[in-house]
Amino acid sequence: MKDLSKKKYFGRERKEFIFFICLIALPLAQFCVFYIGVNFNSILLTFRNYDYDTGYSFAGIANIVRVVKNLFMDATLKYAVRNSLLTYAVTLVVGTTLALVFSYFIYKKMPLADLYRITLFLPSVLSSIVMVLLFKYFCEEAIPEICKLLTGKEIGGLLSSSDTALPTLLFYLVWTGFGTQVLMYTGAMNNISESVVESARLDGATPLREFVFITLPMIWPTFITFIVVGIAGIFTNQLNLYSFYGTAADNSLYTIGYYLYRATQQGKLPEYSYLSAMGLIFTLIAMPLTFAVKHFLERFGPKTE
Amino acid sequence: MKAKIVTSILSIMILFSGAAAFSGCAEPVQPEEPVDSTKTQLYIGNYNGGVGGKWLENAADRFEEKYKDTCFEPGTNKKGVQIHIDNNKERYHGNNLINNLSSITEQIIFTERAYYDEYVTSGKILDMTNAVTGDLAEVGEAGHTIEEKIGSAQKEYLNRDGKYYAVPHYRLFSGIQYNVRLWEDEGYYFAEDGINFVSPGSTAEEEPRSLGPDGKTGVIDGVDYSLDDGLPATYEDFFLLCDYICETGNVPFVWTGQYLAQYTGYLYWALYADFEGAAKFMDNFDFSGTADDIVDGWNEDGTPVLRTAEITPQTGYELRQQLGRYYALSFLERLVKGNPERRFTYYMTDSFGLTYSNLNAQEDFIKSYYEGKPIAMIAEGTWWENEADLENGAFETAEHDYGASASRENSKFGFMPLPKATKELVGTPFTVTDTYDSYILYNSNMKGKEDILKLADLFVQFICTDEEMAEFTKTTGLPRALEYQMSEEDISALTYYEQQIWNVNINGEVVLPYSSSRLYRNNTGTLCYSYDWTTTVDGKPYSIPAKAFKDNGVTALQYFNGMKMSSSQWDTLYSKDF
Repeated sequence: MKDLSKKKYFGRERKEFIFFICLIALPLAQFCVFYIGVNFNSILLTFRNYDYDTGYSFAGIANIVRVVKNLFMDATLKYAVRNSLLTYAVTLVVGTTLALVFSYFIYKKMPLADLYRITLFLPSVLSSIVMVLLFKYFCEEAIPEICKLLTGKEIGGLLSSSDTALPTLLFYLVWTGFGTQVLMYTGAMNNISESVVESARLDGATPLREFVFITLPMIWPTFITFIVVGIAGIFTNQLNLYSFYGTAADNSLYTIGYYLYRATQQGKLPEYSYLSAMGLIFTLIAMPLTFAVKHFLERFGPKTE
Repeated sequence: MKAKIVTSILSIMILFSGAAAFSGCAEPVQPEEPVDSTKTQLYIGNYNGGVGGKWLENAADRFEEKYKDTCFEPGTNKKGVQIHIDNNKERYHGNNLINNLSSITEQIIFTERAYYDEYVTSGKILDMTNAVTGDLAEVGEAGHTIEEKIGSAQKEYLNRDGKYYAVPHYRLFSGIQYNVRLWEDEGYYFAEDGINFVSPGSTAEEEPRSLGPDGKTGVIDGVDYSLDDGLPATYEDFFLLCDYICETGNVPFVWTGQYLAQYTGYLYWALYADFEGAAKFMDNFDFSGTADDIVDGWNEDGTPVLRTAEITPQTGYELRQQLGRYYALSFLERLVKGNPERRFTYYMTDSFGLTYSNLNAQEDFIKSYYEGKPIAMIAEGTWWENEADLENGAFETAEHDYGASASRENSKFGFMPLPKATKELVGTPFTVTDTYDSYILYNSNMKGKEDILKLADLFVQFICTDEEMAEFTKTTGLPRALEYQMSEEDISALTYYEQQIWNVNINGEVVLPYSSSRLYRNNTGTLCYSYDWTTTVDGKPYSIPAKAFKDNGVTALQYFNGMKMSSSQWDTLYSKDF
């Protein structure tokens, strides 16, 4: 009887195991091919050159040297680095701060909390290309029209004018980034023990003190995750330039992410080695930075004890 | 039990979602027409942007009819051929096609913007040498081959160790298109003296017009030089005309804001090529030659100090200071900045709007004539009439709203020979470029299918006969990228606009940027026209001149000076391919 139930147990376990394998086989295969394979190939390509007549040849570190030299000479690349850092700074300072504030509002069920939740989460529910189109038409058609109605002054579209394009793109990035952050932060805040909050309140803590000394330390791991993921993506963030402008964004708006994406789109096989080298260099910059920031935040951040 | 059912349903759903994903990758495109098993099947894919698919459907019908009794698969009872055509802009665009070739059933592909080297080295296309070098006897042109219809520069480029992997398809030119009716109604033609304008509504017989940019009139050696009579001969004339158009209450120019970089880019490339002429302009592609107009500085009176430079792959950076680039930029600067003294703006305000598409601009250009605020010119390519007609139905709606005179057949648009930068250049040939890499290719899915390959050869030869190429031009209004003649009768069947394009194709200097240069072939992404206009002014990079002039107050001279590249930067970027 015992053997029979054991057999039954293992049979069930085997079935579950097969089910599990079936479930993860496709995403795992995709991960192997489109992440590991592609990245490995990209690293290899950094040290090789391709010529239409002679095929591949070993290039040593020539492509890396080319990228480093060009980083000091090419104004577009300098601007791309600047914009990438600016994008991260804005999403960190403005985006994260506001996301925390809004999340706290929602968590505390303050007036209009549900409206905030819907407004902030809507961009994440809609398809990104639909959002881009809506926002593009709003900035290019509606805003100039409203401005004309109110002031009688004719202005260009916010995305097509050089003066307003970058701030508008940054606004869009921050706004559409709220959804995930607010969802995660409110989720983490809802897990805070009610008794801790209650006790703080009995001790006379104001909402601000409660946020700083109770809420923030309790959601610190979630906070760190967003900061660290943001740093890892500094040089891949495209600032939605491709969605708004295709391959024809003005050079002064470039980020490194967009530069690489666009150049890969426009370029051909012999040009990929240079781009691979650039990708590798920026990975080598972002990787230690990511670990350092993670270590720093974990070590010096607020503790819950 | 309930959990088991749910698990089973979920498993099936996951399984099918995976299957759907896989099949989505490999599913061949099934033609709508049912397969006639008594005939040999031929599958054709066609990039139908701009030129559409009607021409191919017509040609396929004629081919099917001509060979209805021919057996293409010996040993079977099949007689004749059934051609299936799949028209698609995304799938057959040269950038995407290379990734799609392995998964589609189409055997012959008509494409655009296909980079030949990439396709040849990919192994995804087949050798077409038999079609190219074979005698055209079977299709009614005995003693001739497609090879002899290919221009010498193209031939040199396409021929790889004696093999051809593509046949040039069509030619597209970019530049300025104008509304001829508006010119006639408002008298926008320059009078014989080249200073004043003719009276509104007057004909060329009543009031003779100036000689135009070609500096000639009438028919000389069979070439009609009168088509550009009365059009602005120089940049100065052009902007005088723009002022005059503004004075008469109309709008001189429009272009798409959504594709501002591309469409204004086409315009200054056209101006640059026309200034330099074919030989000097080709230096940008073959990196071989002598450039005698490299700007070395500027005199106090604003005239350039020029020097000569030998152009080699090592000195290619010199071309970024070629005088033609400056003139093209200065033209665009004046177009964008207008006439501030008289407060004239030369373009429609939407032209800088990100949501203003090329189709919007075309529609406005067509309809504005009937809506009381006519737009005189549009920056477009020679495909625009087809595109406005086939993709947007702009002519149809114009006809519906404004009567028969607004139909495509009755409209009268012109392809404007570009004005010359200086008076001294008036009379030099009109140079146009075709940078669209349009080809006919064989998909490697025909490998080993000798009968189908022979049929494909025959079809390609058929559509490359003079008669069929004339039919192509009559249907699309565009020239094929091969050498052929059209009869007087065929030419008269073209619209006014199409006749002008044909005239440019025959009498203009056509630059085909085909280059065997290793440097160019390995770096098309950065040496092609889009990248080549980047500049740095006061440390800030710009890539769209029109925007830099409008939004940032940059001048053409600043823009041009900022384009200068040092030899060390050039070396850094390209020395691996010298």
